[in-house]
Amino acid sequence: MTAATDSERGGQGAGALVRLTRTLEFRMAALTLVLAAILSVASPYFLTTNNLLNILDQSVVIGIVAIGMTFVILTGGIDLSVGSIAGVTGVVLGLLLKEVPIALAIALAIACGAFIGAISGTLIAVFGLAAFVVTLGMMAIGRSLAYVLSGQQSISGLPDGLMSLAYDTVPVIGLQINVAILIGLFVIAWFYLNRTKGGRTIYAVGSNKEAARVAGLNVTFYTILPYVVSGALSAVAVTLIAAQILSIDPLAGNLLELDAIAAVVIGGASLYGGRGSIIGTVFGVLIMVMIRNGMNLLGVSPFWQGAAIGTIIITAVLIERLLNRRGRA
Amino acid sequence: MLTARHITKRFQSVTALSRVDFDLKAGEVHALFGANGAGKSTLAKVITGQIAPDEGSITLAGEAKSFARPRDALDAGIGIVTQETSLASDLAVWENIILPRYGARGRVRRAALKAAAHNALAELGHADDFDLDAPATELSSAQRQIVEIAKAIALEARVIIFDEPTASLSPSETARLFAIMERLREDGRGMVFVSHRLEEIFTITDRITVLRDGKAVAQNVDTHTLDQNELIRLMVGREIGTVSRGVPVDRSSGPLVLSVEGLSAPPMVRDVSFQIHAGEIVGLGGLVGSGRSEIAETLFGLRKRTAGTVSLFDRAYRPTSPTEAIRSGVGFLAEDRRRQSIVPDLSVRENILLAHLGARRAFTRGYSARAAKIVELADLMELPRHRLADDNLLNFSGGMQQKALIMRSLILDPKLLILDEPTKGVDVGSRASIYALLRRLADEGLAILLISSDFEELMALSHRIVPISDGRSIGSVPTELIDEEQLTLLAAPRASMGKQIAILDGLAEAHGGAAFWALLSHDTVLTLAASQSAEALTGLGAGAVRPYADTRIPAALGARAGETGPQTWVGEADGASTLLIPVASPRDHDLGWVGLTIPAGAASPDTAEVARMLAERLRHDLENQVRIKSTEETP
Repeated sequence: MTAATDSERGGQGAGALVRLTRTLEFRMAALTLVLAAILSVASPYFLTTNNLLNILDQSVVIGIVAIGMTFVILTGGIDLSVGSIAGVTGVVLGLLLKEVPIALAIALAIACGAFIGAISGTLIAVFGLAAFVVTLGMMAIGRSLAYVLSGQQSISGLPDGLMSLAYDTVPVIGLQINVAILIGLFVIAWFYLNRTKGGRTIYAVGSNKEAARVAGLNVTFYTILPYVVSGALSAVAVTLIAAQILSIDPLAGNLLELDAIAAVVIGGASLYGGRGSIIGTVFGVLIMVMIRNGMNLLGVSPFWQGAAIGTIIITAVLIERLLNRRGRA
Repeated sequence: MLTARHITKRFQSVTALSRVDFDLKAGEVHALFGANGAGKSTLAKVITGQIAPDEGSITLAGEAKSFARPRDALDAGIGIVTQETSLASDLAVWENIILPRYGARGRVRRAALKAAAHNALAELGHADDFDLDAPATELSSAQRQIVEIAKAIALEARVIIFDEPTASLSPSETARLFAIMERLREDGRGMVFVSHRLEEIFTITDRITVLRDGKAVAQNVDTHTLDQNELIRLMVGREIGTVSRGVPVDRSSGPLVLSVEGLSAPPMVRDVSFQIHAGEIVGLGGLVGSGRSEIAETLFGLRKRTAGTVSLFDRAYRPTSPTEAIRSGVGFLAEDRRRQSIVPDLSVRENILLAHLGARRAFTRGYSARAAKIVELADLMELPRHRLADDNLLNFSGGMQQKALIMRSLILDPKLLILDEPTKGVDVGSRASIYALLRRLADEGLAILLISSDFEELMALSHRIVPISDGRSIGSVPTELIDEEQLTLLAAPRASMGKQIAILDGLAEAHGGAAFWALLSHDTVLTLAASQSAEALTGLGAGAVRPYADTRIPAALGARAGETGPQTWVGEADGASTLLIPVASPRDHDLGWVGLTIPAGAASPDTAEVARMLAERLRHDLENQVRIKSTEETP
């Protein structure tokens, strides 16, 4: 009580600043900057323009998938099938590109990803199956279909036109198209989650499903939607992978789900749902990619990188938990 | 036997307890009383070792104790029984009772443990009521509580803390709990009773400690030296009117808002009919488990209905989801705040806007359009504006939470508001302001359907009461016609009504007529129960509320004798004649009249003979819970 009245008397400006430093996003931004500072001291190459562009480029695939994952995790669910959906929709895209124009092929591949997500979402929301189990099953199915449809072979020789998605820049801004797509998707996702009925419903459903239902929110629809978004974005991500190498492998997107979940969790989202933010995910992705990038620059053995990333994930979650416990007691 | 001195506990900047002294004697029930957030539960947790005090000492039987963890307190013989019981649902009853022993060292034998569990229940006098091997999931909430108590007994606890044990119990279950507590008291155990229900404090406790804002404002005072008003003044620090009944007003002439006819949603809702007019507060009077909450949920589209017609403003109202209900202008405050209402990760403001979001059809969230309305309502509710920005509604007191959740509905300007236990877990001070708010809303023309286990509250607020028993509505009674005990009778589960109906049937059969049990007041008869033949002969059916003139025995009802005068047969114009015998509770509370009507042409039986037969049946079948009022003493 006294704390509240004090901050009120102490002026809105100071209070707002204090509140900002308490937010998750602020802590994530600080952590990202600290990490960048350490890496730039450790490796003179880290802060070069080339390397920074490289980091952005490496963020594209994880970032796009992590957006969908943020939606899913906010409802208290999990999507283990994103990597496999990327694989199967990539194969679908590769096959379609031989038959139909590029734009149509991409649209169909994305629709395919959305459809798979809709199936998972429906099983979870309508039939009450555990998200973990459904998406685990879908993960196996997706990968299997990718192998079957591709005949266990990479599909190469994709049309050159696809390359512009990876290497051309957007006029005026000068950003690479794939990076621009990533940023655009982050902005749309931020707007959706914070400023629309659907976004707020996703938070409410994840925080207290029963209360959301009693308040008249459409719990079923907004439980399904995140899986649709997640499936569709997996297809977008694999499209950008294909654009870089003009070939698609049935193994594409393997283990992508782990990176995406890690980025979202490092970004402060709670796996119980209801807590997390798209800005947190932005930093989560950056931290993941920067650590990978830094270790490569420093010549850390790739076999040690898994241990390092795993440690960082657990530490991030532990710190968040300790901070929250103090804040909530 | 237990003494706590200068207990102080701080949570960050908040001092939850400040130098509180408390002591407990063997063989007493000591009340810990106070508003929500006064520190009752914190003190209980300190005593049971769940939280460590910052300062202060605890002595048990002369020995200084310092409990580092709950186990230490258990070992020292301090048990706790809470409102939300902590049973392991999948374990059997007996395993739950001896569960703490699983944590003890050494080998244990299954048969010995089971016997110990049986003994603990036997000590409470409930050995025969439990199947020891049944899983705890199958128990009712009252039964779970008894198992919790048995758990404490099995540990040979000399001190038992009851933390709001009656919150979810019906009156009869509460009575049973008190009987157990009496038994434990005679056994020399010390009990701490945490509650904010005044009448319970006076019924069961010997001494009382009142907490306010973490300080003891009355310490170890004998309960009988205080009266209700003093206690409330101690608790809130100022005088407030207790629940007072409003001036009886008939609002049923207003425009019809909701009309429910034969509503059914098995298994809990079987046959419910009632109406609510604009400006009217209608109370559903039923016990826990009678289907009250389920009726509300069905009307709000949360449960599937199987039969019945409901109309809202003369238009068919068939909500299949809360969304439809909200869009039709119905607001709902659910019973369980934590589970059904509060979204902990959204700010207080967003929590208030949640139903707005549910009703909204547009893509965007549309919060700004409601901003002015929120501030206006916050002022009306006396909710400080700056607290709207708080990020967790769970940090609010129960009363503040409830106000915020009522705002959630009001922001949409509902035409009908359904409130399920609006003052559950709310302190007396906030209650008064919620009452004032509801009365004001009704005065402004809102139709309100109210559910409350607290019959005093229900009757103080409602213009009419619809008694509910086993999922069936029993007529609709203007509040001024009945009192709490009579409502309890009306709302009694059918199983216990069965005996009463059997008595009436027996009476009717023996004399070749019809028998009924009714309340009479203001020239209106309210039938509690009737024999099978009663409707045709007397015009009285169970649950019917009618003016005398609309029955077939107006003369007898109108001429009912004074309470002490001799009862006589009164003839009707059509030749039938009726004998009315007054009945009362063991505490001499008026419970209406038992009537026997003999058709025209038949000889009237001897008055004393009828009374004797009735008295015999009441004594035998109802164990004198109902008895004849005057003739009992006269013969």
